[in-house]
Amino acid sequence: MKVFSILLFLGVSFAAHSKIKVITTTTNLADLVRQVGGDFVEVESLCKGSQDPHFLEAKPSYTFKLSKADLLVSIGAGLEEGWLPLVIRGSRNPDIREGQSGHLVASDVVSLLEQVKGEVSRSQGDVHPEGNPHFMLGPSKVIEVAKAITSKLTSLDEENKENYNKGFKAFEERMTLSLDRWKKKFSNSIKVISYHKTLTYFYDEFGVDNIDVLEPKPGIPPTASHIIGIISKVKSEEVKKIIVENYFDETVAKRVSKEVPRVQVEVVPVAVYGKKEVDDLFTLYEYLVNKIGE
Amino acid sequence: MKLFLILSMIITSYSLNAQSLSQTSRGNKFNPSIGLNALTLYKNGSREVENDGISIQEIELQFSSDVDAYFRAEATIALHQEESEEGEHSHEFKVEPEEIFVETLSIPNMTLKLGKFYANFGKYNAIHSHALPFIYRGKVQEEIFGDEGLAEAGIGLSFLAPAPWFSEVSIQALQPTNETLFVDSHHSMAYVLKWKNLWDLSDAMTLEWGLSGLSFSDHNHRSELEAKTRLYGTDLTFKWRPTKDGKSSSFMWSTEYIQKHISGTENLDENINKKIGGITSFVRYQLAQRWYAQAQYEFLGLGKNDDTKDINAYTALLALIPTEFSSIRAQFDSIHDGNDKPEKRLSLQLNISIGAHPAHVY
Repeated sequence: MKVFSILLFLGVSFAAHSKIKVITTTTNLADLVRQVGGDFVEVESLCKGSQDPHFLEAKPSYTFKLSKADLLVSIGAGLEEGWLPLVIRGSRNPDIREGQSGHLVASDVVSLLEQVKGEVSRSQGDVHPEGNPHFMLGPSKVIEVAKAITSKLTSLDEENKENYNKGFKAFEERMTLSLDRWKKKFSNSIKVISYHKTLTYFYDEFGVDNIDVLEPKPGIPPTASHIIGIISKVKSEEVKKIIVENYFDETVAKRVSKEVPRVQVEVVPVAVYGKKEVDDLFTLYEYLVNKIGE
Repeated sequence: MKLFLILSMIITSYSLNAQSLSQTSRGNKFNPSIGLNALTLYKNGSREVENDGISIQEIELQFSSDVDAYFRAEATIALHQEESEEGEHSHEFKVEPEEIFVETLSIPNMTLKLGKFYANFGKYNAIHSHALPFIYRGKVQEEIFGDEGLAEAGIGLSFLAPAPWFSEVSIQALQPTNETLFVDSHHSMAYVLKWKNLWDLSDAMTLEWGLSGLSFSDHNHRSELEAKTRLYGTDLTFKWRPTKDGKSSSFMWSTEYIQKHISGTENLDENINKKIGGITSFVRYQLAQRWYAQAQYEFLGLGKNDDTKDINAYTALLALIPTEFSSIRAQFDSIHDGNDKPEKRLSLQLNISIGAHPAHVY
């Protein structure tokens, strides 16, 4: 009986202190969960910082990780549709299916830019009719997602409600202060060309004018005729920088820069751990601000 | 009956935020995902010249949707042009339900599957034509399972084993109708067992190893006739895709070995006792974002107990994959089957996908 009581006590105390196991699809989401959940969560991202989350493969090892998860946080808006549904099904974890209590789809809690109105077809490239899914690069949008993560963690672990609220408040405060400081770097009008529409929310936040993208259509690599058009725009619009997300090839950007030498090519990370020194959302935005701002 | 009651209780007892069944229609939100894959083929070979030229190799129509809070359903209807008999040209199309099944969504830790589906045996039997690594199923697969693989009506159960890596066990009981493997039997089932493991060697590399077995025994008590089929297989796949620049470089090496033993009395062509096995091994190297090169070697004749000639088949393939919805593949086969001259075959395939395109198995 004594042994049973000890075991029961150990079991109860272990349960009381066990961390919420969270799996996220991207490192940006993982860092946000870590900022809010602190020591009360155990977080892992499926996609690495240098990988493009559009094109991940449905690895069975992801399935294994999701089978043990209490919470899955995904981006949504079609970003992971090429691999995540299969991984969720394979996990045989009914709690993390879309619409269930253990799955938070971040795009459900923010208003998305570039929603497609009217007809849409695949001849337009890899379009997301629901809107641009790269909102984790907009600091204000990220605060909204952090709020939703706080509510979700609280609903799964009511006992640590105060700790999650504290984590959120600290994150919100630091992000708001940082935003004021970062915005000073964008007082002049800045015009850029990007490779893909990954930084749309960042540009929106800081008032950067994204003149065009190197891809003729989303997901379609640059063509010669499109690049000729880009070169003439770079000349006429006085564009100073071409921003290439570091999971794309910068060769074409360098070719444009060769034609118009005043144009600088900046290869930037767009996710936490996309570069060695970028180890959280603050260092990620700081890096982008320093490379894109003036 | 008892089993049925227990199953019903398991399925329905799990708490879910179920959608109200009364919500039968909300625009087209509840329509199934519909996708179509079409394979157009040009072939020029040194044998079976009646099948040369342009043809529709296969059209796969796929539907998938959650049925309710407890089940998900998937159907794949295939249309393919029938092979021409010697001396005549066939233009007929055959329609076949390749897979039509439901599987459970709400039971924790396991999936139950019911309907007609591909047997989970080895690495490549359960893959649909449009997702096969080469244009044709291959000599070993054709010899072991027949032209269209092994797909039967039945029931399956799969679960993740309690191991610190991905380890999946699948057990299926199938109604045997495949003429290459079974005698027609309404009373005996074929049982398939597969154990699949995958290890992440690093963020960029994985190693997959599988073991498969199939057993079928039929005993007719009136005539005392017997029929048995046994299949054993193992497969090993290594994949590499770097986390940086992973869109333009990758490598894969995959090898599968399958051994078949069919034995029986009169109703299997008089005391048949046939043993044959084969091995298939291929490499795939990604040359650039849209270009892949592949090479395959097949040997058929391992562990055989008759005097049929061995087959050595060599295949080379070059693929241009503009997007995940289209690909153009050129393949050259040289098949040495003991005849004076080996069979040479050149094929060009256009593979397109419209509508919903579910993720492919890793």
